[in-house]
Amino acid sequence: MLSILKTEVLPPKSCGLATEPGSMSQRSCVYFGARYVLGPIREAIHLVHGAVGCSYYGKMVRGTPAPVWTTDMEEDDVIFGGREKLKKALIEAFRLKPEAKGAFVYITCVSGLIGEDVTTVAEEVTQITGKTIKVVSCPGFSGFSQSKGHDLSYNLIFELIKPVKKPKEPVVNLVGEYNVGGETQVIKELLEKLGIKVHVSLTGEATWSQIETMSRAHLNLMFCGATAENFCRKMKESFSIPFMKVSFYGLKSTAASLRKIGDFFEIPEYRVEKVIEEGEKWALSNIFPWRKVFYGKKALIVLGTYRLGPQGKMLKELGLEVVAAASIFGRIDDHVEAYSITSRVTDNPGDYEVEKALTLLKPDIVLTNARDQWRPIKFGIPVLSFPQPKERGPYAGYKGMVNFARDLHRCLNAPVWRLLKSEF
Amino acid sequence: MVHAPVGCGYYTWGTRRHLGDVYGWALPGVLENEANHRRHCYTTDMTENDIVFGGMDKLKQALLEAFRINPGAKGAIIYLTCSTALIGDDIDNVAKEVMKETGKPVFACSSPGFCGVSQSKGHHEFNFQFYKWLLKYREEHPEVCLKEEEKTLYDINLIGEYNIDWDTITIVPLFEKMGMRVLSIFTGNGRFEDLFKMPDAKLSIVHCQRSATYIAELIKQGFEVPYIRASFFGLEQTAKALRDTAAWFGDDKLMKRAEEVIEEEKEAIKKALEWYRNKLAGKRIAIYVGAPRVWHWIKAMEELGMEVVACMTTFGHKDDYEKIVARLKPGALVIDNPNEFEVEEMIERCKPDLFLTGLKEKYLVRKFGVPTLNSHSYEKGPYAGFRGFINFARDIYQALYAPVWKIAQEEI
Amino acid sequence: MINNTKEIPIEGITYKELNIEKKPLSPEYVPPPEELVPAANRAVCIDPSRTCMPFGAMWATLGVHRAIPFVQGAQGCTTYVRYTFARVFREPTLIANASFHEDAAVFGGRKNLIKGLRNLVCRYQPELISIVTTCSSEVIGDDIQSFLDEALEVMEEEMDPDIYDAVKFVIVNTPSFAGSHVEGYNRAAREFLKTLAKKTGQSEELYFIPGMMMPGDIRELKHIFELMDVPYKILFDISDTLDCPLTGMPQMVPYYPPGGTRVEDFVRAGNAKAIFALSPDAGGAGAMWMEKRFKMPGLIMTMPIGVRNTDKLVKTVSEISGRGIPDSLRWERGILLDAIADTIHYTMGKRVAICGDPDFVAAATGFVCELGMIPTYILPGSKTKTAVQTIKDACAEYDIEPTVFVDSDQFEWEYALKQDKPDVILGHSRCLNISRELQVPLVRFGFPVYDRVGYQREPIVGYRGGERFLARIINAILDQYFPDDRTQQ
Repeated sequence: MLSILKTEVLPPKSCGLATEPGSMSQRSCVYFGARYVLGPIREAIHLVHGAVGCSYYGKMVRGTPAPVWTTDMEEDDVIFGGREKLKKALIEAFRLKPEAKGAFVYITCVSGLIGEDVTTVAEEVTQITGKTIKVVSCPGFSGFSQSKGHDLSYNLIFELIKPVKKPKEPVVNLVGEYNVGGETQVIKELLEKLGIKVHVSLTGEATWSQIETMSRAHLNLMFCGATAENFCRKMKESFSIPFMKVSFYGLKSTAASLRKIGDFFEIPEYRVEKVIEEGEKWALSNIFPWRKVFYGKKALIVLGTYRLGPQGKMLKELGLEVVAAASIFGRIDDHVEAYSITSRVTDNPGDYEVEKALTLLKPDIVLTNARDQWRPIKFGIPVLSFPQPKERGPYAGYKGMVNFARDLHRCLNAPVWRLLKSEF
Repeated sequence: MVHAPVGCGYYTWGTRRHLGDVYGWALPGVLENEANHRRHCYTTDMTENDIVFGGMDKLKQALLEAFRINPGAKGAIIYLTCSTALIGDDIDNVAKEVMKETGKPVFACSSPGFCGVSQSKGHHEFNFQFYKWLLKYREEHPEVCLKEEEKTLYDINLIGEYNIDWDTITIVPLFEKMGMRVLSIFTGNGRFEDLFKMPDAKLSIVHCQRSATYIAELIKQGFEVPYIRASFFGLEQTAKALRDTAAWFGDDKLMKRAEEVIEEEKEAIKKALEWYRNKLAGKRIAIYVGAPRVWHWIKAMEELGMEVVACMTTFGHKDDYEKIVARLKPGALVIDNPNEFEVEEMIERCKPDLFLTGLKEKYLVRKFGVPTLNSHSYEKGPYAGFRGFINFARDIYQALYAPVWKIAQEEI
Repeated sequence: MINNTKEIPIEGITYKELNIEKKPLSPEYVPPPEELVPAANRAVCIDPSRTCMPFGAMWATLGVHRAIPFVQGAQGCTTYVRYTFARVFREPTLIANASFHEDAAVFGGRKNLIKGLRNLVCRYQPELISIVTTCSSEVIGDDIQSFLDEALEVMEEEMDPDIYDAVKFVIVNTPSFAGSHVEGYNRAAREFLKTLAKKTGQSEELYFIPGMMMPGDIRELKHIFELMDVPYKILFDISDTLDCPLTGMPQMVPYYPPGGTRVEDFVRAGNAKAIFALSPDAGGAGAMWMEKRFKMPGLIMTMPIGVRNTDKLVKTVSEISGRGIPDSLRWERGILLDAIADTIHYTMGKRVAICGDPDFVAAATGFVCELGMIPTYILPGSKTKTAVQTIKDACAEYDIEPTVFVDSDQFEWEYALKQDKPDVILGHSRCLNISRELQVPLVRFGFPVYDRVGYQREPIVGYRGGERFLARIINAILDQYFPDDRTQQ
């Protein structure tokens, strides 16, 4: 078992290992990862070939419902095979939704185990309907964590891309940007100020046809490296579109990213600087009244993986101290980034480790995902949960920084913590 | 403007659902009154000092302020209450002064609570006082009368129709279809300007014959505008009302038109009525409302095949009871102004299946396992006219057939 | 066939079909003259948020077992009140009236009172009658005490001298032109204790005057005291008189609700260990009088809405009774805190306007502060001795300075809201219009709530009540601001 108390960086080897059974991990399955990435793609039919539960849970993708259909496999289908049912379901789905450009068929644990030959069915249906069908081979057991699902989804997305001509004006793709709380819009607005158009946001705002034509962009902006780095490399090799790692979390990162993008497109420096200056001024004036609340407060971060670094930097910029960071399905690069913020970094903590950390490190606030947001509250510690629900708004860009500070302020300053400590 | 301590003002919100369609503004672009039919309550909020030193100055000031706050207001009515009557405030004088200053009609209604045996006295007083004031106002301001050239042959007044839960929506179109014009309604969804024109009509149709026959009679005496009595509850009575009206005008075309309208409306609700009649036939029913509706409804209930076993009124007069008794089957119980004790006894003796009554009694009766219907303000009205009658039948059906009454009788 | 109902009842004209077109009174919006907006500058009172005193006295009486208020006034004085009770509680109420007519106005209400009391006793065999005066009887100058003596003599002659033991009489002077319904309750609380309470010994019981709490609230109080194992008596207990089951068919005639505080509990009040008034403005006078008369501690508490207010009550009760605070109560407190912690993202920084009776408003202000909300405009409907200070104290802790409208009407408060829109309104049903106009959610609480059902049964006091109240607030916010299912986390 990994111990959070080890102050040295964990050997890189330990990342991405299989979870120790019974350690109450927060990791999820491969299907989860696939839905996470593919779920919001529009103009497509999402058909889950499996028992009803998988589609039921797959409906919510990053806090937003995304349409999903299912073959609802039952005992007979499992025993005699569900191929016919799948074929019928796919043909029906295309008839019910003729505007769909194609379909994703998710293979789940049960259909994977009975060895369903989904690819053949897909080919047959393609012949009948003339629509592209992508088989997402994501049985839940096929990987250590959702990370595998992300990878395989991006591979499928890559297969969809067709070579197209490039336009004159600068166009970029956002890759690994998931539009949590409307963040895509904020990033689009910022880039628009530099005169840069966004073609598609993978997969925050993406349609089947946008993905097909995404090779028209001049540059891929990579946000979440954990899910999208391989994809970006392949794009570079096949379509010679360079990629660039950027982040719009926090004032410094936003400024640095804007400058990097400006450099790439050779946008005059003063234009970039103006956007940065205006944004920072506005954000700082909003955050200023709350600064006392943040100063010297201790934060603990337990998040997927990519967010560790960026969110940690945002906290530091606001004057908080990050006492420890843990990823759920960690990747070396993200851990290295997190290590620059705090010396305590680990991967895949179980509930026991998290609770231990809460009692030993006594953080003032915990940033964690929605699944585990209520645990620290029981220890009297406020939580900021991710992905944040729509009403809390984006955390990216300058607007996002203010939102983030506002939510932190709300958490830290809520009178309930005082009431909790009051004598009784 | 309720000239009273705060309670009497507060409770102006507490009367029935007389609805209206005129609304003030809340903010630019926002019309007030989406929810309540009476948005504001104006009162002089008499306090100890005012009671000791008299409230006339306060009343006058309050009225002037109210007009300034509501420049759209077309007039005002002042209500005198127990305490202000007892201390002897002369509201007539205040009304005159305010009328002079603002140029808007102000009617002072002397209506202290201790006056008369019931609210019926209030109806009565309002009729007389309002008519007297109306006469004078028309003399002083001839411009409010209907001009000769605007008059039509078929102008009628609806008197004693209070637009409870939008009853007028089912009644007025009937007359309009017959080619008549409803000049004013006393006082459902009424306007000052329309009420002034009451004496210019050709005929008055009196619906609530307890509270409003007075003014119809006065208009008849003063302006020779005759009136006929009518009821708009139940098919036969509504049909009769239309026929009587047409017959009064003596116009063949009108009479034919009336028959057409009756036929058309009856056809529209035939199926629904049949359905409900099958469900409701043979049920025993008790009625306790104001006064005239009791005898209006006896017939209506018979149309639904139900038997009326007991009748009570809050403020019925002798003529009301004569009508009730004439319409009831022998053996039915009739009580004037029953108290809770008598209501309870009636339930034990008559064992009605349904009790048509008001808000105050309905919760008591329910404790005895008898379904009720709010008959003052209705449950989901309108109940008048042809199509309203289906609403009435539907609500009766829903009250009678609710599973709760059966479950309540079961023991565990 | 989608649904399997064989016959679908046919509708007449449905509510939707009515579709009334609105006509504005004036073609354009005309703002009210600025100088007339503050109620202090006006003679006219527009939309009072309170009613007159007799109402409160009748409320208190209805919390007593087999007690009937007898209103010495015109018939409207009971009709309107019965309408109001029926609307709020959806229960029958037994209220008698002296039926003042012209003769009473001229000759006084002596005859009415004597006859009325006699008839009431004969017909209904009550255990207690409270004689509630009104503006008219006070203006006429009826000498109620001597009328009552006379009535008793008449009854003694006609029935039996037992009448003196069988029925108790309490006179509550409530001239409508002074105070408000809250003050009416306050006076009734004092008069009941003054007339009935005796000291015959010493008991361990704690007495509580709840104020104008709803039946659900009183049940919650009982639950707390039962958890604490404190011997208690709740006076004016409307929980089993104004919220009664449909049972016991066929009912006894005359119908009396099964519950209510017994008259003998009032008589024994002098023996109590302490008396609590849980609403300073409604019942405080009763507790103070008991302290003076029987030298027992008379404690006036803020209504136990919210964590701090409930903490204070629980601690005080624990100290006085010598019973510890049970873990089960700590558990409930923890649940409430947990519920607050779970929802801070919806409440923190939300601006809230509050309207209602002073005791409710003062306590609720404390609660919304605890949720991290910011009270902006507060209207305690009636004049109050303590509420303004309580509000200021509660807000000072959180560095908030709300505007409190003292001795004002709803018109002024609503005007302030129109100029500076809050995020949520906490108020009674009469705030519905302003909430619709401003498109701001209304969280109903206090008196009166007549346009929604079940509010009288749902507690807002205590820890469990706080949790229900919190849910009410959050759900109103969610419904208005996040109506879709994105609130799934």
